[in-house]
Amino acid sequence: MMRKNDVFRLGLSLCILIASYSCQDDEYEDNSFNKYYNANLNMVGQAFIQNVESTPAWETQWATVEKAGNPHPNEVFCVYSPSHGTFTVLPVLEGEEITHVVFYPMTENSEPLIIDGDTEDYPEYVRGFFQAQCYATWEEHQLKVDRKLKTFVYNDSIVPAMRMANPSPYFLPADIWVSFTYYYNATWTNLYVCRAEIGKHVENGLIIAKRSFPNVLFDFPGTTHNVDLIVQNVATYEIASETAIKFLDIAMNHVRTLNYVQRVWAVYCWTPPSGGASGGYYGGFSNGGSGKDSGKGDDLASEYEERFCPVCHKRMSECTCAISFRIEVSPNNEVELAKHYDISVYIGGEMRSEVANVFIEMTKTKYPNHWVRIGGGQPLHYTYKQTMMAFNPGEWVVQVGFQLKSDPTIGYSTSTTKFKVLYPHVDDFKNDPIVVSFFEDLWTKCVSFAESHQSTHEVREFGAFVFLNPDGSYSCTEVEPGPIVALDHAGAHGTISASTGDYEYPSYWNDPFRQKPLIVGTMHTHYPATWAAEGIHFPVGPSKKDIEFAQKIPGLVYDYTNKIKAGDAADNPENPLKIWDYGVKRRVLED
Amino acid sequence: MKTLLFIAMILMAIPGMAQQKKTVNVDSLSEKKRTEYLTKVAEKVVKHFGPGYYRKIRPLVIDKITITPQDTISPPYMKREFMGRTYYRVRFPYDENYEFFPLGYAAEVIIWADTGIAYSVVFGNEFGVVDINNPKIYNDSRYIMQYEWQPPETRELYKLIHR
Repeated sequence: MMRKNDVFRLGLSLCILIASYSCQDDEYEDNSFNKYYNANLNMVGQAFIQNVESTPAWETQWATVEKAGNPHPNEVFCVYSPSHGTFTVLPVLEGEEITHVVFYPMTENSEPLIIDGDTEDYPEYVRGFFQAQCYATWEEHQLKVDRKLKTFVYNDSIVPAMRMANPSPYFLPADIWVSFTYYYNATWTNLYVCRAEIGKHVENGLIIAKRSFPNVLFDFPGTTHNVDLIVQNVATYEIASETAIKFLDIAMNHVRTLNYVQRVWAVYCWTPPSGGASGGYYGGFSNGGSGKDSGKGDDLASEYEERFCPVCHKRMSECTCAISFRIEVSPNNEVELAKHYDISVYIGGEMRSEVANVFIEMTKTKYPNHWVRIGGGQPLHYTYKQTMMAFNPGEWVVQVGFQLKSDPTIGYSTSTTKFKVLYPHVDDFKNDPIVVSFFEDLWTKCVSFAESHQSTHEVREFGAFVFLNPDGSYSCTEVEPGPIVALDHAGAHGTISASTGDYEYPSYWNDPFRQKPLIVGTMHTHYPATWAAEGIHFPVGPSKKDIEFAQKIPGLVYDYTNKIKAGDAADNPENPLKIWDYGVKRRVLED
Repeated sequence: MKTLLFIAMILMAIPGMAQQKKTVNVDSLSEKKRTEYLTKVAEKVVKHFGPGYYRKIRPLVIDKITITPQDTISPPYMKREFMGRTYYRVRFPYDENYEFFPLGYAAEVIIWADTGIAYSVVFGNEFGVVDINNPKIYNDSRYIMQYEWQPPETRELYKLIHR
């Protein structure tokens, strides 16, 4: 029989034992990392936890993070900004909402920074992160982000319109933010490599954009600056702003070709044209035309749903082909010179999710199989888009190359799409101030010549070619004047002719990025009848000879509005001069 | 002596008499006579200044035009010098299956209504001569227009003029 004392001792021992086990359980529960090891961490989460664990004082830091809420390592990603540096960002949730964001700067011995919506003192990079809406990645994953966080904006880094009130050049800085995947088995060393590679792609993207916009100067961002754009030779601030945005679109599109890049954002750090001089913050987001574009996932998904397979004619999402590509050019298959257009690739078929990368290639129909690759990258929502600036007229055909995740060999789709890049309509340049001014100068020469030859009634026509420049402006290049003719008999008239081949800029005509001025029209003057022989009557406007030359290229002639006769004043308000247009309305495509 | 003086006076009066003969108030003529007169003058002008443009297709197309500020037909130089005056425009039709003239006629002669004197001629090639009653012009062969045939297909070319 046990004595009461023994029973007590046994009970006490059991209590101590149980308490001891209980304490051990509590200690185990407190080990937060163990909790995540046991949870369903994905590759990103595992890599992130391993990295955090390798840093000094991680336990204290992690405890601070956990006090804020429930961290989600699986949703970690990295962001790079030339202005602000590189960070790993960790969302922390309360319930279903992200209320805190932890920034891990990519610098030695740096402390993570925890931010919530009520934080008042936080560095500019935090503002930049939210200004650039980098958090949209989480929203795409159905995570809600605290509204207070989303309203963070820059303090004072906006260039006001007042500073750009003068004519060009305009200074337009942008803040670039690139979100990229947190690698499996990532180490800080890998992130350094990524940062360097992204920086190089930003630089190359800017160089590529420069091809489309030679009037834009840029300052390579390096590691501590914004991308500073200087837009030259534009008439208005509005055009400068639009040019800068398109420039950034093209540049950032190149950055998207890196397979680990998720998003690229360009925040426009200048006052919007519509904002006038009142200041106020202006932030914008380069859409780059990329399928990997920011915040437009839903749009892309619905856009994709509306497309049909060119092979089986079912919806792309229901396409039963092995793999198919639908290629579209927008806004339509006839693109004007110096205008932007999008090439969209929609991927269908049972293997569509296996497509890792797509590549877009172009050639003119006149040069079959001389394909030129113009871009490529990862599709999003089975869609990839590329923005181009049209400056090489002709009929083009587009094909798509692709790589499967399981096979790096590039295959090509059998589907192609044709589109035309058209010369500008004569109405686009007929009344351009540069053209009008040039006409006035030619006319002055013409009158001067006639006046100085009045004793012999001699006149001659003066002319030029009208060029469209890559920046969208027009210019004129004078040609040899026409032969001298004496207006001393019935039917006497002047002529002028010039060959486009003598003035066209030579270049490779199958280059989609061709950036040489293009001849879009001809222009010439007729002449006053002031010093013609008595009695001579002239028609006005384009002559038969003029029209014969204008069957492939639009013509402009500077002449009086109504019929004239010898003795009429050179400058006659009752019969004013005007620009007549004749011939084709657009230069005919030949190359 | 008296005889010589008489002959001299006769000779001096002849040009004036001749000039008087040329002046005809066309408006005062009956329609038939007016048409005959205008046709005769116009034929003479075209045969003289541009015989290659003379066509036998009849009737000629005759319009009466008064030069006013609102007038959109008369050229500025006529409006400047002859505001308020009336003229007859006589046009020579042509065979469109054989040739083409961008103005739609082979020749056009302007004849003043109050004097019946021809003022200008414009040919189908759009060129012409004004003040044709001036002897200096009338008698100068440099004002005679040379004819150049243009096939009917030329019509398509002229559609490229955007007036």
